[in-house]
Amino acid sequence: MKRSRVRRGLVLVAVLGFVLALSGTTEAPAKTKACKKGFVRNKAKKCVKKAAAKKTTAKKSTATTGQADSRKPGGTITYLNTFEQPSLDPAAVSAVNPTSGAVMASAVFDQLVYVDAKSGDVLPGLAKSLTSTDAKVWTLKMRPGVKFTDGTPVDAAAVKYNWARMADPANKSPNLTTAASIKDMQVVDPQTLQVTLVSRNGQFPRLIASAGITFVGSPTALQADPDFRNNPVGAGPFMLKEWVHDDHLTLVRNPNYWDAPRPYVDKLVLKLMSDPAQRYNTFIAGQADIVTSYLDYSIFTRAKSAGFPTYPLLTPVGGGNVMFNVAKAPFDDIRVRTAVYDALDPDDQNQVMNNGDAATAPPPALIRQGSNIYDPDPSLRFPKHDHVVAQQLLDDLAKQNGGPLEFSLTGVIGDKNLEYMQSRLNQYRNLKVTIRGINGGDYGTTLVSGNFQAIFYLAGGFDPEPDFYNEFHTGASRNYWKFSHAGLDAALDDGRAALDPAVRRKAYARMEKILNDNYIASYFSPTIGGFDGGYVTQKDVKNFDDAITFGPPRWALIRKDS
Amino acid sequence: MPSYIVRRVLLLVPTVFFALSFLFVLFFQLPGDPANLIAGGANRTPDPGVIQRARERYDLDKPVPTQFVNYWKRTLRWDLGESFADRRSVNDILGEHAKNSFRLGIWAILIEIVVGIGVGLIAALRRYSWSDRITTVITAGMSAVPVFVLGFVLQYIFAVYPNKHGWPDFLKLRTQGLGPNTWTFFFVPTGEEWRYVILPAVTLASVTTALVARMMRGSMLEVLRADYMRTARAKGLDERSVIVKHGLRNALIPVVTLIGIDFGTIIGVAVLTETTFSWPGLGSEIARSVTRRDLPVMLGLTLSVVVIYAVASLAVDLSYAWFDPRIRFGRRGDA
Repeated sequence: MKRSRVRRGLVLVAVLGFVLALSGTTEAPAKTKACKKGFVRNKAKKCVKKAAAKKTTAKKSTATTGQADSRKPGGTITYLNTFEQPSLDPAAVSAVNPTSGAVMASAVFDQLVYVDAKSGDVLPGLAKSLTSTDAKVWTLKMRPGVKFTDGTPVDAAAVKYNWARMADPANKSPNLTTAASIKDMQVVDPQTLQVTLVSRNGQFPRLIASAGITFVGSPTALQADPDFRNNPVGAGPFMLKEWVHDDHLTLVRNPNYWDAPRPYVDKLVLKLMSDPAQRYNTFIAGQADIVTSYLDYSIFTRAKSAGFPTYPLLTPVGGGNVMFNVAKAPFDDIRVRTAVYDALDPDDQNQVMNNGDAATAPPPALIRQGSNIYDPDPSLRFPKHDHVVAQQLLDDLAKQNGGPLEFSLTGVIGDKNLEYMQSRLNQYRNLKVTIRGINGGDYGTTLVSGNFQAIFYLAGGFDPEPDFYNEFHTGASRNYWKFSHAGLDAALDDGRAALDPAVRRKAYARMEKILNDNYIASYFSPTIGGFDGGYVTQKDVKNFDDAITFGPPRWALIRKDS
Repeated sequence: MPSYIVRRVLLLVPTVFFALSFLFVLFFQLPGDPANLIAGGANRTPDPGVIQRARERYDLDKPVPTQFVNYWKRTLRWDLGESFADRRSVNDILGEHAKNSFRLGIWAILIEIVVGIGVGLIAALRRYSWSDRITTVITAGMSAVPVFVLGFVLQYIFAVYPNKHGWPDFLKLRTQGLGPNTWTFFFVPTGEEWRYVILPAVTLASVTTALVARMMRGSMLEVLRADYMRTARAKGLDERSVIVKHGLRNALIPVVTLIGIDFGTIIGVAVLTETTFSWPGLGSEIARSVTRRDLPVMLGLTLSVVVIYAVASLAVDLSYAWFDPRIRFGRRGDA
């Protein structure tokens, strides 16, 4: 009995010791004795009057909106990433948007140029400028004295090497098409690269900002290290310290970053979390600093009502739609397209599917406020959906064809909008709609094969270039509906070639009018690629407003109050 | 015994061959074109030229029998290929994810052994007591709650709630991911890491722990009524020796079988737990490879899971001899 007591005592001591050892490995709990009413605790952990504290914060806020914050950098930012780029070779990074591999790449490489989320303009990043007088020959100026983290210069030759590498078909870069639009590159001096395009493109900087061609790696490291994809060397604000695939990346501050004293934080952790529920749980548990509402708009609204700072990201061009295949019956007949367009009711759809949330309300026009080529002309708005006209047209078509109009609506299995549309459309006389649900894996091949009548599609983005050109120009690579219109081609060509925003605005107004008049699609959502809402941050994350672009956030600008 | 082990290992060859061949054939019956996914992903819009290049690069333009023969030629050289989706070596992917699965699996199995066997034993020894009744109710509940529900509930209780109410940091557990990835002796979480392991390990172990406890209770009750237990007591052995040496070892045989089979499941198919906690293990990676039509990853990782299952099953069979010395292998007519 005595031995047993002694043993029990030893076990208890061991357990207590273990618990204490574990607790010793964590940060010490903050001493958080509450201050008196009307007082708050300041950084020095002293209780001060609320008003005084507010004054200091306001001053700080003013300071952070200036050019640079000279305070000592510090802290860690944890961002919940939604996609892991499997390779950090710049040639392997394709799209540049807030949910692509560019989120990781921009921390290591920075961007040559980027699209500002406030103005929609293309602004210089790692490059000093990118200019042209004729939209065919472009001059890229690099910043003098900037170095990759291996000490080699970030100059015109480095950019030429990277772009030539992407243009080489042997490297199978997703940026091949973009890089192949360059006919010739000449290094004029260490800081100047003269680029001649195959054809005029006034939106060449926008093209660079939207593709992986905006990322430049060290040529020396690219040549020397066969495993560059896992050990990237760039000139970005951070350097890769650790990469646990499918889990997280830890990046540490680049002390020689060209835009000193940025970056403001010591460490950036990009944690992969694709499930929206997990992302929100992790965020409200205080285990992450920045989260997106990607694929779940409720993250944005819930976080907003809980008092977290929210940063909406506008998607001012195009959106989610039902695209009609004009190359195939019955949508080769404009009366059918008009009838189905009029029969649809995007406002009702938003009411039913999203509780009428204003942020997911159907877009009023193809190009909207927030875009720098927005034209407020009311005639450019989408035509009104008129149910009476729809029924009349359907009755006429039935009389003429000897039976009701029948077509299938194609979409990815699980998209509830499909069922909604089918139920609403089938309420009309002389209209019979069937759903053709396809596996996500079949979506691309279905588009390429043209084997659909009407299909759910996402068209557009942040500017008509380059997507609208690819989707609506005669013979373009993504013109799956084989739509061909000389006036539209001319408008798209003019929009692409123009340097002057006013000329672009006019060209794209023509594009909008032609697309509206031909009832090619019915837009029901402003969503682009599922990026509903925007970003949500913890309260101690600062400067995030300045960091938002139409690609990944500008990591160097983000600060954290510690 | 050695000849038995050799026979069992040799049996692994046809098992692996048929399992992987079946999956290979099944893959081409699945809807969805892998080349399309390689070229651009699910509901995006890939370029037709890119799709064609992807087909050529991965031999997807060749007839299925040719692909099948080529696959086995490569596999016999232990070349598991390259992921369709991200062009990484499958050997590398296997190495990374298997480690994580084992780390989580070991802790889940330890919970099953300590809690499951312990609780079941106490419930059997104190039959119809309050502790027995509570055990019955809790284990029934635990085996009925889906792991992803339990996962989210635990995340709320041990991470979200403490954060909302300003609990001390050491009481806040982590909800997601692998954490700092710092381990001692391969599986002992070090520093911050333990805060990341607890919740997924408990969630992963929950259902089987409940089953182990119920099975242990039933098995022990059966053994307690056996003649040899009465004989052991009649010989004058103290109760502790009777329970541990004579009762427990016999009662453990079915329980060990359950835990052994579960080890294979935990390592290879813990998809729900791994997904709920964003734990990059084998199960979630296999599931992801199926949705991405990533054949090399799917087959490479399945190969490892089949082997793990077979080895776990062999270890369980061999352990019978230790628990019950009457059991001998390898001789005709033996049990």
